[in-house]
Amino acid sequence: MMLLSRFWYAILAVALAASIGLLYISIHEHNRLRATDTYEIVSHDRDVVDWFLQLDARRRLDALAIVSVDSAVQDGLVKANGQEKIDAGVREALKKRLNELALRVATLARDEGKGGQNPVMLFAVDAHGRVAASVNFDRQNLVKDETFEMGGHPAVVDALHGWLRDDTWVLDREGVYRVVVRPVVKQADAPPIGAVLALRRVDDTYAKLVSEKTGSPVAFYVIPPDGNAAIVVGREAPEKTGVSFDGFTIDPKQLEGDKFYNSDNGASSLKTEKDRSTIYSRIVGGAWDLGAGYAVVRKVTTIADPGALLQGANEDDKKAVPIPLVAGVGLGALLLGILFTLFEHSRPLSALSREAKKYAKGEQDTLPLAKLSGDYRKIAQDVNEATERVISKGGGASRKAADLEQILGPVPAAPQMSAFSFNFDGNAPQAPGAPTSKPGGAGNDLFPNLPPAGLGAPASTPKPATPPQAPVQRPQAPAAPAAPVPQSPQALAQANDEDDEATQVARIPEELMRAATTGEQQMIDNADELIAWRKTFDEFVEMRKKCGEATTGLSFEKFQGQLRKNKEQLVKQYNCKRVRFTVYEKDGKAALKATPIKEG
Amino acid sequence: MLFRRSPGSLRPLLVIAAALVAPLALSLGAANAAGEFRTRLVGTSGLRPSWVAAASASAGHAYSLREFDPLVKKDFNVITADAEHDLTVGIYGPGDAAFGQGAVIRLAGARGVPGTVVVPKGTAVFFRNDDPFTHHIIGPDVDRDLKPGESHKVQPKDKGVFAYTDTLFPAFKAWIVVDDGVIANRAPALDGSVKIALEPNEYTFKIFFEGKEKAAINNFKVDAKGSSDAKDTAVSPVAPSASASGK
Repeated sequence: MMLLSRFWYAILAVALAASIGLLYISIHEHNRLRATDTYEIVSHDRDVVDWFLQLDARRRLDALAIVSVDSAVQDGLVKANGQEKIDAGVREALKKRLNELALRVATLARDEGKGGQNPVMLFAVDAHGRVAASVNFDRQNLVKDETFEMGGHPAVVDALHGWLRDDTWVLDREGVYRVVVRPVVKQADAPPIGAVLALRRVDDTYAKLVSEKTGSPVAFYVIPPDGNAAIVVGREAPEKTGVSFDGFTIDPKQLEGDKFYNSDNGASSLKTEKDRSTIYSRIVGGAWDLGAGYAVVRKVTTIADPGALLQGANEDDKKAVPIPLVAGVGLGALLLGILFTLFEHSRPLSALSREAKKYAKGEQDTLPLAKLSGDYRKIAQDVNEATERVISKGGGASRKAADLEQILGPVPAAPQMSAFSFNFDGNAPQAPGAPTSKPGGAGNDLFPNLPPAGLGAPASTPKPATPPQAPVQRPQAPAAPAAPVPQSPQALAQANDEDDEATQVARIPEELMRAATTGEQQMIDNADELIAWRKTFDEFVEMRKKCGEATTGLSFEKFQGQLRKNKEQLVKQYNCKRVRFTVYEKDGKAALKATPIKEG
Repeated sequence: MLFRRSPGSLRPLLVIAAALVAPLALSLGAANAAGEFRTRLVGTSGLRPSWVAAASASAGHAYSLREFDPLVKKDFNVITADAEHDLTVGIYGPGDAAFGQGAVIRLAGARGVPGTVVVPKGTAVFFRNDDPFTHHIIGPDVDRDLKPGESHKVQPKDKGVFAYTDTLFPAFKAWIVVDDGVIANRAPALDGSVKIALEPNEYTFKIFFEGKEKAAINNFKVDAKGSSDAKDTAVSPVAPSASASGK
């Protein structure tokens, strides 16, 4: 049947298909988990950047204290407040002092932009909201001192009422400024005499500052409320993150419909484009409503297909492969395959080859089926039958086992069923016309699968039942010594007329007949018969196993009891001396064939 | 159309200058008469600028830090109307309107200065950007960018109150009040005091906050010599409460 090797191929095919399926599942799972993890990472990065901006605002606000408490600044503002038009001298004195303080403020704020030489923009605003002096303002060329005011910005209004606070401004739709404001207090029981502001433009240097401190790639942008395009005003990505902002653009439309981005939280959902995932966040301050924000980006490594799996693997990944396990599984599978092939192909074939050689050499007349298994047994069986057929056609002596039909004519019809399901009660149907030992008594119950014709000759012409012939009391030509097959009853019958059949029943020697009358010889015969039946039982069980039939419940005691009944029946029916039982396979099932033997 | 659109967005500086000095002409002329109107606007602490309310609504994202300075008395922490910029005194009386070429609302410090102008029908009002950055003014007959130094003229033809906002500075708001009989308008000082040189006559003074009349001094006679003091003028009957502190 070669089940194991065939199943092994199926198992290997299923294993291969399952491996490919698992590979795709693993890739998808990896990508999914990676996306989830990336969201967590980017979301965390966004929080870190948010916290840094708050910390940065606090540092700048604290650093600005040296300006708000500076006596020169205070004196200048007091003078400005008392003047309808601020005197140029007052402005110059204030400006000079702010210049001196600007770099110190930057240092205190740890603003390391431009190689540590990035003084912040400082402004001194009087109580009227007029800018008395400013330094480092990048729009100074647009400023007219006499009309320059800042008193309408909510942050400045707050400061003029004694509040410390931060803010973020957007100027000209593209300039983003981080702002901190402090009141300038001259007297504790008086309102502030003015305010001082520090501005830091958000540009690449500021993005670098944020990026270096947080370890996150950050890009600041503005999407003007009346504009359609986003403007990236500053960006920086640490090299170790593998993120590049080259060609980085923002599609405002993808943020328009983002409910998270437009909520109080101000942080968008995760946007994944190409190889990077991004969270956009509005920046706190007046810029919130003016479309300013920052994008925190992380590179996402996804695996497009199994081919890309190895491309992204490094040496560490390859070292993580459990080579002994993989090699062991592969080797085990190989060995199992070889083993199955050996047992199911090579060995039976070798047995067939060996027996065929013996057959060819004439060491045996037929191929021994019992030594062969599976398909090779069928092949051998076919060869044997073919050989028999050739011999028969050539007029040679038939060597096949005689069956009951040949001897007695058509045997009673018997259900084709497994020997295992034999009716052991001894009430088998009898063939019409067939003599029975007793009415309704035991027939050949043990052989319901007894073929209507001899073994291997199912197509032989049924012959009418003939009464059993009286045993011929003359010596017969000896049967072919090498032929192990039982002698055919038909041959026995024909042996009287023709002496050309190989299977013959020898006439019972007188001495044996005499001995048979004594109990001693009978006991000897019984013992031999019992041994033979035991052998037959073993072969029967073995055949059932080979045929895949159950063997549980089979016992020799029952088996030999049935054989004995059938033997007695056949002995009476055919007037034979003994019956030979042989095991064979029919239609994939174990079966028994009974051959009446007249000779002792 | 309530307004005649200005033919050009940028008016000659001369026109602006004339508009700016027009109120001065009133006082200069009055200086000869030596009359002066005086009053002091009180109760400004009861006036809460609308941008504060707007800022309160968005307090969650308007700032990340806002703390009061312990050196400043809590009384001063209350954000209320700034008399100098948020209040306008409209002067009603005999004589020609003293607006010259028109009135001006400066865009300075991200706010309108003054916040409200009161003009008679047909008077031109100029929005002039004195900030070093662009504004975008929206209101009746205007929806445009104003770059630094640029102006835009509107000319109300009918009575009413017209509000203007700025898309680039949400805190910015300005109002034009078109009224009959107004001959000039002036801004109080930071402390709410008002001093206006006027020819001797009888006038009505109306105080406006964010386009709304908050107080009036009716038929007040300004003497030819000395100051005619109307004493305190309450612009708000509501005293500031503790809950109004801050935002």
